[in-house]
Amino acid sequence: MPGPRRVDHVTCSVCRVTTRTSVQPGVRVRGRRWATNKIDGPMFLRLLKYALNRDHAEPRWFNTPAAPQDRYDVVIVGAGGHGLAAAYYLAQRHGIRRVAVFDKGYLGGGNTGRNTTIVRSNYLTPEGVKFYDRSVRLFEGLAEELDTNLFYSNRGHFTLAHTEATLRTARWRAEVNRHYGIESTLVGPEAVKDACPWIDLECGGKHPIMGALYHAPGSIVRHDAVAWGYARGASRLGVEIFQNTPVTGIEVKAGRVTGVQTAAGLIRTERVLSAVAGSTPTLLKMVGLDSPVDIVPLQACVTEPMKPWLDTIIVSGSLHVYVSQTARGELVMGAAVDPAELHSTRSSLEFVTGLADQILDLFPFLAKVRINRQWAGMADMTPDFAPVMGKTAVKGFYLDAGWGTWGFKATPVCGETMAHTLAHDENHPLISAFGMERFERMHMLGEKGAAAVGH
Amino acid sequence: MKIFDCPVLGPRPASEFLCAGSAIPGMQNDDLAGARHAVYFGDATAKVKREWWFHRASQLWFIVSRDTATDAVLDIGPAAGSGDPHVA
Ligand SMILES: Cc1cc2nc3c(=O)[nH]c(=O)nc-3n(C[C@H](O)[C@H](O)[C@H](O)COP(=O)(O)OP(=O)(O)OC[C@H]3O[C@@H](n4cnc5c(N)ncnc54)[C@H](O)[C@@H]3O)c2cc1C
Repeated sequence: MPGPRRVDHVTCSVCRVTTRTSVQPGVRVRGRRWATNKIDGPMFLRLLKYALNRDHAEPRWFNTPAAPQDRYDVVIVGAGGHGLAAAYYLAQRHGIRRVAVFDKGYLGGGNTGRNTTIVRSNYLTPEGVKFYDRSVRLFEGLAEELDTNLFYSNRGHFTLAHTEATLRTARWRAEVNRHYGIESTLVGPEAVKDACPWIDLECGGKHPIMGALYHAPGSIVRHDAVAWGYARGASRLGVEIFQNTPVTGIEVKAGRVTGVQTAAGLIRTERVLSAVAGSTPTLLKMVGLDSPVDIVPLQACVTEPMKPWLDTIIVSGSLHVYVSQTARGELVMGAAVDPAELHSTRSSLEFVTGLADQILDLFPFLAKVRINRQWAGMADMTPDFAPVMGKTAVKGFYLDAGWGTWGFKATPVCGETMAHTLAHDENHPLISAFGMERFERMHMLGEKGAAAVGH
Repeated sequence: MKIFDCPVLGPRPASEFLCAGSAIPGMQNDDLAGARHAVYFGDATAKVKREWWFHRASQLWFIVSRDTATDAVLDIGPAAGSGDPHVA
């Protein structure tokens, strides 16, 4: 008789999908022994095996040792996508494997598990376009690299223009994008109607659609799977992940990081990566730095599931809304950030009513569709809608922040460039424009035209 | 709906106001580096902050003390020089 089998379930706080993640190491499942972390062949073979095996056994995704060691080569604060990706690339590309990742909550429970999962590279500044393009390329090969089904779904992405001014910005973005080899074109209203027959091009006569920026690579990706995939990849290479273990202080002596205070004790390290999104000001305060980042809630919601009718991503800058349909049929919808700074993940009635008002101008037939859930994340906003990344005035303290409402798509490239920056103590060329000293010099990046509607 | 208990206008929905950010004290024209730092950097952790808020309908400016952890408004008063006759 096999012993009691323990299966861990991970449920996404946002979309409520439950995924079975593990069996206890060494437990007999239908006469076979399953070792912890055993790689059980390529994904398609596993899928086939799952189809034929009622028990659906899967080794544990990542392991958490009982207690941290006293010293690590690198400590990463924040087990969101960014922190985990950095841990993975540090181990995988740079051979730095004595790495610990600490999270005050659960893995992927910050903005990584709260975002609307849109991936695109149609930004406005050359620095941004090159950076996000690298990320999209990494995303395209990521399911293969992490051997995890990320549900990467290429949809195409329309940014609607209802005014001459938005049309101009769209043309500008298309030109910059094409200059860097990225597929973006200006299209007329008929192309929008073709791709999405259900749209009211007149928007009830109030703000007719004049055209759109069409970006073919625009995609949606399963956010939790990205975090879990990186966590598993990193943990297989020796990285240790500690959930429910807040970092409470950072020890700095003579301008250098010497250790990190955690709920599990003091840990010696000379290199700390802060990848805490909505808690960035708190981490900066721990090392005595002023924050260029302000915290503002960003909210989103989903409707009840419907039959598939929308296979593209639709964004309207003028109406401040965006919408896509998940594989399960829910509409995922979001808007711009809340009106003022707030360190809280409460969501509000004003948000859903405001959003519904605008969405109904685009899609009047949704009037009878119910909204099932709404939530918020704490967005780490910068004045120019570009990130703040790289080395800081404190030696050994590296920052990956300012990801506001747009950082999910940057998860792979942030991991890659921050791992490089930590390994060589030198900013990766792709992030050289993103240092926080740009605000002292007034060298703003001006990404707002491509990022103001959160996604 | 969130309501601002305004001493000048009476209770008004928060959505009638726009937040214009922290009321930064003591900026000097002859210290541009200091002014830049004051505009772009600060202690952005959760705490009680003094902020500029603008009431769209009446075109009046206010100084609001707000707890950025809870969103509770602790104090609201007209900003000096706001054009409001109630303020000297
Ligand atoms: C509603 C919403 C919609 C969005 N939509 C999109 C979108 O469509 N496309 C897109 O590209 N981006 C989107 N974003 C932005 C994106 O979600 C974030 O920029 C990105 O996920 C940030 O990832 P991260 O790993 O840096 O941070 P997080 O996932 O927030 O991870 C930070 C982690 O740090 C932990 N932490 C904080 N303080 C401490 C401490 N003291 N000690 C230990 N751990 C700590 C937190 O618990 C958290 O798990 C959206 C954001 C929101 C809120």
